[in-house]
Amino acid sequence: MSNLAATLDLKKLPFSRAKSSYYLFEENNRDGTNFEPGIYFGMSYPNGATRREGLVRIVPVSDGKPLNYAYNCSPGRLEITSDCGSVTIVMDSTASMRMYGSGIGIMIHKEMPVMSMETVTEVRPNVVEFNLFSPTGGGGRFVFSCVSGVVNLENKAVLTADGVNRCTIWLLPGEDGCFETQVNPAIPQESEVFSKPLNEAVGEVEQAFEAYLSAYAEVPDKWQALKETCAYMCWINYREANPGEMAPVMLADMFCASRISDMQCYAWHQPFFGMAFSDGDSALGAITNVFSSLKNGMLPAAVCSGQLRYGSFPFYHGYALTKTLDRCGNDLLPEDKAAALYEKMKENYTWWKDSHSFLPGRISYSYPAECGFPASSLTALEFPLEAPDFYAQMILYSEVIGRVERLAGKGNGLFWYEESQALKKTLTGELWDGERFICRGVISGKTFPCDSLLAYVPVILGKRLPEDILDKLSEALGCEKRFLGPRGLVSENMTSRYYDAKIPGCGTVEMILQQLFVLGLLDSGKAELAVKIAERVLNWTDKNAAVSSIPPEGGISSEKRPADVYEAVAASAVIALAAGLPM
Amino acid sequence: MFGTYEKHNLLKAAFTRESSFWAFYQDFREPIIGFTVIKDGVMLDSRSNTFLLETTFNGISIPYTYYADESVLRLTTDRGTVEFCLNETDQMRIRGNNIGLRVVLRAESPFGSAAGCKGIYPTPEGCWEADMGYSGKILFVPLEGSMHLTAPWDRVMGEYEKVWAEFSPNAANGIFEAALHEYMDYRKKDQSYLTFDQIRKGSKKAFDDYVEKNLRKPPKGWEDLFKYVAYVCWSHRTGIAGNYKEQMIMMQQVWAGYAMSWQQSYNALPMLKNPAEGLRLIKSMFRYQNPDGHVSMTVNYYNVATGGFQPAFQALALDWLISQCGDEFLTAEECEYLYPRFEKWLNFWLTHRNAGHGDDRVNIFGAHESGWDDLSLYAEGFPLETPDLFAYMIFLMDNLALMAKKLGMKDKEKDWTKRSKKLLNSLLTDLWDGESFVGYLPQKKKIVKCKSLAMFQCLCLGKERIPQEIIDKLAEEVVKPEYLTDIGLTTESLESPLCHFGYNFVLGRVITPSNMLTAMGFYRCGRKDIAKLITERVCKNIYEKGVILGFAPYDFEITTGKPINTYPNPTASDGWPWNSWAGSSVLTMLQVFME
Repeated sequence: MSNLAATLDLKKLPFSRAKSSYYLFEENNRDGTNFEPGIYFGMSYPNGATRREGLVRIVPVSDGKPLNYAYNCSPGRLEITSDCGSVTIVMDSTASMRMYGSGIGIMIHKEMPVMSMETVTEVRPNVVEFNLFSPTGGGGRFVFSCVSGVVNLENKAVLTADGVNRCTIWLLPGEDGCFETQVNPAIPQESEVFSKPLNEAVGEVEQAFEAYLSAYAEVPDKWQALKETCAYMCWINYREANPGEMAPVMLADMFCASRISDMQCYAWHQPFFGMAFSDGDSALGAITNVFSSLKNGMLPAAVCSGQLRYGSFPFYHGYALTKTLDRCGNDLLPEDKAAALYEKMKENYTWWKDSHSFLPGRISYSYPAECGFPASSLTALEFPLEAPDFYAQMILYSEVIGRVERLAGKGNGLFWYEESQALKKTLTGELWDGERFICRGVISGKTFPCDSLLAYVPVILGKRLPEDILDKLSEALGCEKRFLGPRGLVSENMTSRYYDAKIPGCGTVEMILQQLFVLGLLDSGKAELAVKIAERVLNWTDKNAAVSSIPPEGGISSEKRPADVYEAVAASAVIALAAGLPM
Repeated sequence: MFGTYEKHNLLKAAFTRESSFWAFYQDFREPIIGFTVIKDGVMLDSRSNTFLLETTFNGISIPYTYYADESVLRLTTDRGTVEFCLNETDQMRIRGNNIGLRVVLRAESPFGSAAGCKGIYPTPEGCWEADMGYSGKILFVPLEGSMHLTAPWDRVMGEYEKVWAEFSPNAANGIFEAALHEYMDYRKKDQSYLTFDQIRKGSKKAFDDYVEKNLRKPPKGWEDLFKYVAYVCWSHRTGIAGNYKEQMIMMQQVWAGYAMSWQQSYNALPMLKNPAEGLRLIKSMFRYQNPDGHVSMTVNYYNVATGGFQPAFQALALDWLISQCGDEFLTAEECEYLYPRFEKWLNFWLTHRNAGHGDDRVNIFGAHESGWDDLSLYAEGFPLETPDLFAYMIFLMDNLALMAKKLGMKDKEKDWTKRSKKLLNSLLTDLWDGESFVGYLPQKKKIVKCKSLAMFQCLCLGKERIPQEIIDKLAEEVVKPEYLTDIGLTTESLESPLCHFGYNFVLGRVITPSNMLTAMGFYRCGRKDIAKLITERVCKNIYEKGVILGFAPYDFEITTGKPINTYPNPTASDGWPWNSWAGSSVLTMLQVFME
């Protein structure tokens, strides 16, 4: 019996499981569309977003008539209940889902353009393939195999050039009033269609999720349900590597951005997922996964099933690895693993230096979007740009490479120590004006003040910075007229001329940055401020949802699709924040 | 070949070359040339890496005309010229004479924006690198003259307001020259560069060698069309990059920029001077054969579409090459490679698409498994046994019998021959109703008829397999006005209520590969006169209208009399670009059926 507390609102996040391509959600037209409300099947599209239109609505029926229903959803099951009976849906494996009916059936109705590539086919008796392949893709493929009861297809085409093919699939109970249907994304052999008792199926899923949940630290009781919902969101966004496939691209398991609208696994998000884990191996896996795709010294900025995009991105991998090794101990990285990792990190660091250094011993962003927040006031400055957040990233990166070098038995780490010290000297010397960190244009040599929250990122250096600098940083961060808003730290100083509550990164509360700053402030001995920020973020999230960009006022954007409200990296940040609070 | 004053232009065709992923085209909205990198396979109307070209004099934009042949694209103004050529790897070379060039990033999606450029920045070695996201990167290398970049950042939008690269000539000699490289991860500039003319000559030689090595001479009077279609097929050949593990043929350049499974074998059909190259193309898709035997559907740089598959056209293509060239190119070594793969492919069909009669009859579960997206035979659904599907299985079995013979596997040879004959018998008894070939719905136990041209396709089996009475009957049908128009055969009878000429594919338009297959069928059945008749009409129209997949024979719908509702823009006219599928079909027809 599960101890899970979370019940899932399928208008805000989908029902699915890790490594599955299927999901279900509740359509409520929150983005201004006009679809029939109800529960829908969807299938994640590997390279982008599931189609917005034409997904598969499921309708509980009795005697062929649609029924009113309610649903209750937990990680293990989606239960649809009506007066006449119920249907329970379980994501019983990464390559299937199972539907169990008691007293009622399910009708799936779709109209498809006749002569399109979308087809419904009775593959063999009691097996129906529903293929929304379509030229534009993104529709999904569902093969319904009858385990018990009946699977029926009705197909009526209007045979004109612009006609439609009306297809109805019925999943109906047998004489015992029950049905069980197995659903797969490819046609199974007869031997691959089998029965699984409902409780067993649910138990397996719950067990799998609970095992995943156990990789996170305990949180105070008041945040337990939120933690579980957020952990579920991360779990269902966990994508499996495909090294054995014909065109191997994703060489390690990674977290994607959204099952519904963005299946890309962004490299710069992965360390934030990693930092939320208390389990060392889980953390290490998330932090180092992207190194499996190192090429010519470069790491991909984004990976998904069929695409790799090599590019630059905000690099918090060094910070995340440092935090993880500090928490779990050096034993987490035995010599052989450390040796392999060291070579890759060394190659990658060399790429950063080669491509981002115009002057010896200095580094700079090449172009605005590299900072991760393209609308940040930092991007209004001259580029290439020496920026304090980039220095902080590289200081921690070079430092931890030295640590890994020692763990690998390949050296004493001195070179890397000196590298990080040189960068720190520039940061605290030339890029500190006595009150705050500043930026410097590479071409003109001019320095610029910066009111973006990014300019305060060096707080993650913790006690590596002098106490007076830390005091100045925390004073600004804790000031409710500058950065501390009611919902968390805003991404632009509220007194800045660039402050705009509507623009992400320029006034919004960015969840990744909350995670970064709370952890940094804890490391800097500013626990009270860290807790204050965390609680403000959690209070808002608990009432609304875990989103990447919290507006400083008003509600969640109406542009988000149903079930696409929660965002995985934000959910992960929520867990990290809750876990940092005193119990 | 292509140009402002030439027979054809770059509105639907593209200037590019074999192995290059650069492509130039004419914008449909204004008389301006653009270029893009097509590696990612994205359709033109979704591209964000489209750059437009403006010629300038003293910084002011001036109009130009253009001309392109197989090796150079030239923009001509009243002040000077700018020329482009491509090398066989990643380089675009630009040379300007007395005028400048402005390269303007203008995305098709979101239209007009510079959003496709994630960042553009100077490199420590004096070049500029543009990060174009999933489209890859571009390195701008000024070689002579100067380059100036304008790329103001719009902070609120989080993207560049515009991205302009301006090349200006040396004041001393009026020349500017630059190299642009496209790549996906990291690159520095080359240590040294060939001259513009060396690269151009290399391009021309590559084309001439391709024609000389692979193709028979064109029939008299058709040399011009022959050069166009040869250029299309040559220029659509990929480089070796990403998932392109060997040279493959993309269907289109700026639209469907991927290699389709069965089209590799269509492109094998005309390799009649070099059947070994045809065989290589047939074999190429077996790199992407899945564990259960099915051959993946498409390949592009980023993706291999393993979730679907197309017909087993490989066997038809191999049979054709043998019929034209003899079977010496099919050495024992080739048979050792190909036999198990063909067998696995066949067994996929016989296992996973078996029609359930206890024998080798097979069916398809959806349109994409037949290659014809919207055949009228599908009107009553799936699964469906079709005559062309049976033909592919027969070809596979006969190919396997031949290869078994070459490998000394006598028992296998006998077995395949026997099974092939049995399946042929099923085709001729179960799927022929005395008037036409038909389909069969095995779940519903129902015959389905239609008026599609695809019902003539299994004539490709030839007169050795198809009885004369069937040949005669179909020969009588195909030349009737319901199929035979001035520009070729319609894919759906003009008398069918389903016939229309809109965006749909084989529901009425005169489709080039469908015509080629029908012509091939009649040719192989001894009716060379019909093959020639079809070929002449199709080729005459293509020579005038372009190497395009399909044409409406009228500018109104035959069933309603209303104007044709064609696919929306942004391409010119009705959005059907030049492509290698039509090109290879025409090359086959010109080399064989015109005589």
